[in-house]
Amino acid sequence: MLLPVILFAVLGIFLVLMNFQKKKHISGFEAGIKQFVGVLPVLAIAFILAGMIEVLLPEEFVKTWLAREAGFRGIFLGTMGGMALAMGPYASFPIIASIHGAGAGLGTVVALITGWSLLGLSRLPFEIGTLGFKFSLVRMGISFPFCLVAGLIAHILDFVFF
Amino acid sequence: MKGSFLGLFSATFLVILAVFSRGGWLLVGQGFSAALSTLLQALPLLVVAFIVTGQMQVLISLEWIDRLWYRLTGVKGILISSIAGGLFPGPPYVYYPFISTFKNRQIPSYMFFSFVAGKQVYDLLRLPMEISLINPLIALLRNLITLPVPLLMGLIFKRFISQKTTARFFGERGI
Repeated sequence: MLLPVILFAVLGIFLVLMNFQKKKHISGFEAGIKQFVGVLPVLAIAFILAGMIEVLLPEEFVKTWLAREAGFRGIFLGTMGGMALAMGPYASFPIIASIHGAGAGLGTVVALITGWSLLGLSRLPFEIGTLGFKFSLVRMGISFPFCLVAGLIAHILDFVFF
Repeated sequence: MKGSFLGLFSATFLVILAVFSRGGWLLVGQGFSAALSTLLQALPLLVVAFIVTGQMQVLISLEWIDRLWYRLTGVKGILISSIAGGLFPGPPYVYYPFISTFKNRQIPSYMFFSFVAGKQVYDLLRLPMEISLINPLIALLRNLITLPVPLLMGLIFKRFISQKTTARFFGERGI
């Protein structure tokens, strides 16, 4: 985890310097702090939920339905599960991490994240409300196969490299 | 936000009850321990991630995206729209109302579609969270695998759904 911290710290410094030239860096810090404070309660609860899921998920269920051995079944379940995770990233990502920690395969986890980002039901009310039902339906219809394909590619990579 | 927090809180409470019924306080303790361990592991990156997120928010302006849409068309337009979608800051309740203001303009609808797909797949501000809260390797793989998705979705939309402008696309459907 150290390398991503360093990389993001470098990126952060670069962005601060860019904003410093426009005298916007303080607003940037304020926006970051405001967002962090705003999502802190959600993050805390999400981490607790993720921890509980990790100890609750029966090993047999993970092996049969979500592990690498589950194959396409895991990918399909991952896609549907991602769609059903109707929460923001701060709540969903710790839960996805706990499912991975419990032994889910790479294909399932990638399908989960892709399903959440492309099909996530939490965004749907905003999309339907502003762009209409047909636009959402077209987007969901085109998106669905991509979630399965992404999971399938990850599953193959899992077999070949890991 | 308040509603989703309450939903999450209720779900957590129910799951804790399920954990308790399965393994008593010992298993509940293990759950809290797992939660704390993950949180401590992710905390340094989370702090840095929010600094990056805040700075990005003030760097990318709405005017910049507006100008971009009128300059490009075709595959190049789809590609740039996807990237612009990924760069656009804000949660769904911010970006959907914003992009809906482009519904009645003369922008190719497939570019508009690519922008939405790009936001959902690339979302640059979500990336630090994905890395810190899930796993750097998984985040890298997921992003590499789904890299062409918004472009392909835009091309599919252009080829099979509509090549009309947003004004005509949304207007004709009575939305």
